[in-house]
Amino acid sequence: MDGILELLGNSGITATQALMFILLLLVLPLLALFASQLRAGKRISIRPIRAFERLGTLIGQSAETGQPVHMSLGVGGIVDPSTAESLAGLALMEHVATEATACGAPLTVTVSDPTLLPLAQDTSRRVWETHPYQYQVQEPEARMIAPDATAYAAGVMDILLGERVAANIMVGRFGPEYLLMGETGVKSRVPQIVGAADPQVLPFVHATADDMLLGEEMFAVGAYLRPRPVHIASLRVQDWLRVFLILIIVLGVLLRSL
Amino acid sequence: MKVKFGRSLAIAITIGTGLLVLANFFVRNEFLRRVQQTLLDWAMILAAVALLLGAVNVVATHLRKIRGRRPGWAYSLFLLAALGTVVLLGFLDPRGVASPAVSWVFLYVHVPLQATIFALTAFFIASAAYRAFRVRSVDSFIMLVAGIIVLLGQVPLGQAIWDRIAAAKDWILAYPSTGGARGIILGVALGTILTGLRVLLGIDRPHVK
Amino acid sequence: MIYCPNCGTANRDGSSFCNQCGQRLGGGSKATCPFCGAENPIENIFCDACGAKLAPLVTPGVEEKEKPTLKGLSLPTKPAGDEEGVPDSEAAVPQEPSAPEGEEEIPDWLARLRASLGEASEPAEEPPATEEFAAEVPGEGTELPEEELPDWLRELRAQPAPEEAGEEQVAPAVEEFAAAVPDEGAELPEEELPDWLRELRAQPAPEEEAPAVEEFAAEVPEQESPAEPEAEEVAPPVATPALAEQPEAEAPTAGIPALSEGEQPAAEVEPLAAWLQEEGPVILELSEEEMAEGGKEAPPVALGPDVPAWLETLASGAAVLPEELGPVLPTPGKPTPEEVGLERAAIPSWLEVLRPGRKREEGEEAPAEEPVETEGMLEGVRGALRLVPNIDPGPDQFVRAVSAAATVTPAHAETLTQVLARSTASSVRPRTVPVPRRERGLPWLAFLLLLAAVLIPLVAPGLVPGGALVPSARSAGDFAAQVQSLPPGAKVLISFDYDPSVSTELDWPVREVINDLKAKGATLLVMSTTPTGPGLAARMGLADTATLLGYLPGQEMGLQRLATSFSGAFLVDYQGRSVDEAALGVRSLGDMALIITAASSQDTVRWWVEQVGSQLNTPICAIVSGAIEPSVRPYYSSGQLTGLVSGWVGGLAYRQAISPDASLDAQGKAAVEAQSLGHLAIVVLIVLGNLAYWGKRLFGGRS
Repeated sequence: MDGILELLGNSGITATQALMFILLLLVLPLLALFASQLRAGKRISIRPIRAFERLGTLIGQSAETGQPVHMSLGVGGIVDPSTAESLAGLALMEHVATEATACGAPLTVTVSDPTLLPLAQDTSRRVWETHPYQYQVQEPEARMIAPDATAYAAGVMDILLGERVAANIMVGRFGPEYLLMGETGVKSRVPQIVGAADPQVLPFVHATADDMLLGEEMFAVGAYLRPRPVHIASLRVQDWLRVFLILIIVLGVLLRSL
Repeated sequence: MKVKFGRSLAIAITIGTGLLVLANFFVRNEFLRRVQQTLLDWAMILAAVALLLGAVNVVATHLRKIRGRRPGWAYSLFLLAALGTVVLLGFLDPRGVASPAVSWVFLYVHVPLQATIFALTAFFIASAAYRAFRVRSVDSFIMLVAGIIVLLGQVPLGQAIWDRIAAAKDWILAYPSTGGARGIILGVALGTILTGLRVLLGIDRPHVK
Repeated sequence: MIYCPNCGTANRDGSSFCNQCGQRLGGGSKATCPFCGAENPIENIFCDACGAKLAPLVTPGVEEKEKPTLKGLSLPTKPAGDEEGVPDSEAAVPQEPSAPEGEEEIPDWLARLRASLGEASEPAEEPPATEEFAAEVPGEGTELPEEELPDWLRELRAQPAPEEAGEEQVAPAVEEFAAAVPDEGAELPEEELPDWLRELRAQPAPEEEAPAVEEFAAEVPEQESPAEPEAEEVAPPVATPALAEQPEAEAPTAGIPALSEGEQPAAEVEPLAAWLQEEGPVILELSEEEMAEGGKEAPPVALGPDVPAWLETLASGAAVLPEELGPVLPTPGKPTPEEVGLERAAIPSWLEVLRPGRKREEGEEAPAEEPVETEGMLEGVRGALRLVPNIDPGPDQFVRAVSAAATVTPAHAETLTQVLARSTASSVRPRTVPVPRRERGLPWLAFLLLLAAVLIPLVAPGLVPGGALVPSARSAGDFAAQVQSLPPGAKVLISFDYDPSVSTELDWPVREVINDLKAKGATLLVMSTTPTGPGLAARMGLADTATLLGYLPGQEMGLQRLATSFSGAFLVDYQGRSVDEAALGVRSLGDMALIITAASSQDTVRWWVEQVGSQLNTPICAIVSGAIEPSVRPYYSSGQLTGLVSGWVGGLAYRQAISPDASLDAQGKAAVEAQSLGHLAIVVLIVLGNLAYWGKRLFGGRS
């Protein structure tokens, strides 16, 4: 093991680079293979995730009561490490916005990072424009509250307390300030669906959300809500890579201790 | 047709720039490094422009609220006034953010307010803990015990109660807790890689119609 | 949820028809698993055979999901009548009864239209073509015995129709979808509600009367006998797509004249208004009555969703002409003899409108806005197909384009918006759930406990067991050792990477470290990876003793750049002066004797470790908030961080390691004691929570 690393190091390749390269080499063919298998009719099952199934119910409740759905895309942006989480939030937002617009549920989307705002606005506009009676339905409102996480949390607390929200959906990057929002949602008895990836925030999510998307579950939005073979294949690749990583970890432990 | 072309172009740009940055991760090449540097600079500029757009959005939202006399519109008025004041202070002094006036606002308004709101977390943790640590099963009992050990192990009081509590806390944090967290992080990392690749390959297109 | 096998729309449990495309749900329908090909009951979300998720995968062409589709929720739209005998309807396209001349390639609706045009040119009152429709709409011609109508419906019928409506309310836009909307200039009675809207509110019409309209969305199978009186399930109609619910039987005669005679709709505005004043706003009551009638559960009823729900119906794959929409929103109004007998309903009123060469009656105004088709097979039809230029050939797009163009006027939209806003504000405000008494005092309890935790150490220092004797921390000791071993003049880079929100926690340890560094005579360089960092650094009184480099943008990438070339990263300092690296004696980060990051996010620490620590041998220490300590500690354990101080407690441990004999200042002691008590308060709350929970569980809570 050390020999391999030394060899790599001599040729100017770090272990991280090597591992990433192997992962990348594995991902693309696997993705293509699984996608083609699925297209050819291969069977595959994905476990149900309650949060995805409850989304529709919450939106329906919002439509019935006329109270808005609040959706938070977190405090991350798209030019930093939180990009993937923010994109997962956006993917879910597209689905929520489509359903909400379709059944007339008012939707408010809030972001903290300004780089996410144009994307959120574009998504809501796009969803609205495809609605057959766009002038008779409300365009989902996408707005920025504050670029600062704590100030953003304060703004969301105000929405949760003041705007009689029918449901609170939060998917994206969150820090410790999540608790301010999540607990306010609990106090104002708003049903909450929360997706977060930060292990530091997950306990808070567990304590406050009715349904949650834990960690990688939030990246499965595509596979669950807009299923295309390639999305399901992507989930499958993820599982295979996980097995691969576990093997590497076990191997590494064995090599180190032997 | 025009739309389709624009869409293809956007996807092509995404894939192209993504591949360049990715290549820079694997290959040490001065040209690639410069390209990445330029792209990053652009991203900074875009982020700054986005911040401007965000400010416009904030102003528009609150103007609407004020015009419609919606509940809490007075707060919006206050927000706009504060926003205007700080921006004005920044522009009036050639030193910008380093000007004494802006520094004063930052030190004596921004920082204390932030700290205050964040301090609310203590209350929220208290009430969340009241609800979340119910002993409903063996699992939740274990979680409760671990939670109490970690809580008390971090402060001198716990040390006074049981002198090994800090060690117990360190063990919990170092092994079960970190192990679980790493499992989650690995899963998230894989999800991130796949999400990134889907965007890179043009499968997910959050940015184009 | 039942997922539609045709379009994938999620429909509420109990739905019999998809609200999106009209596909029959339940009954004998089968969904084919796209993965293993097994036949599944349509209600299945997962395949019986292979467990694959069926919905919404079960679309005919998976790639077609690319197109923007609308997926909405529908409330149950159970038609009365037998559930049995419905043919399997796997086919995506509802089967139309034979199109005339067997012109397969012509869309069905067009074929129908053509047929009706061809034959309707005869001046006959009931052109033969319409019989085809009569046949398709089962039960339309049957009589509904009066006694089988629910009471509330009979009340509706009994409403007299006052005739005082003014002439100016003649609606010129009768052929539009909002058939009975008075002209914009005309006064709108009843708070300016267009009456089509009011009808929507007021349409608690049982499905059993005539699912006539559903024919357009999807062919209602012939076996249905919608007029069956002992229907076990009366459809709760209010929140269902109104289109699919409109009873032809309820106002068949009203519907037709409303379109052929301009005056009629206006005349019906008033009775509706009167009726609405009684019942209109309280749709919930109607639905409750109806629940009683039907003996079946009705879904929650709401005003707002009504409209959008039927709007969504329009978005279905079936081609719906805007003209069809008007007549199917009949006005319950003047009871006429025909109303009980359903004879005249045999001519669908929308067809009546479409009939070209229709004799205009005396006094009927020509609808002004609708252009007359001058060529092609639709010649003579007024506003039948308002083709907009950018029509996509796809059926979805077509419907959207046509319907949107034909119906949307700004005034219309505005009214709808107003009405929706009003209705949600007034009639369907949900009950607020009272907070259980048990938890009502909780915030106060938490507040008091935490207040005590803060106040006790201030008022009576030294009372707390353990005092400020912090647990010895090796990580803080390592930190202190490195600071102490610095030679005079050593260059130390301090990065302020924390938020103002944790400034109360981190300011103190950071200040302690900086004071020690100053005492050691170190050369301090101060930077930040967050925009607020320089402001925080400015509070430390560093201006004269340190070089303030300011904010380094780019986060992780910024640090990567900093590690590769220090000179390129900072061109100007915080004050805007250009940085002279030569004078500083710094050419790269490697010249630093120590790097200290004060961070409130584990990401920042990770960036330092990965981007800087992996490239240079410079030791990196971190001062972090207590919240992120668990996620940062592994970096210390692995040696990537050479020292770690977390929060107040870590700061005290550092202090004790630097000077074991020095007594702590009062502020530090009070802070640590308060933290002790705060943690204790949370433990107390946890215990109380469990007592409450188990007390209720063991000694019988009511709930």
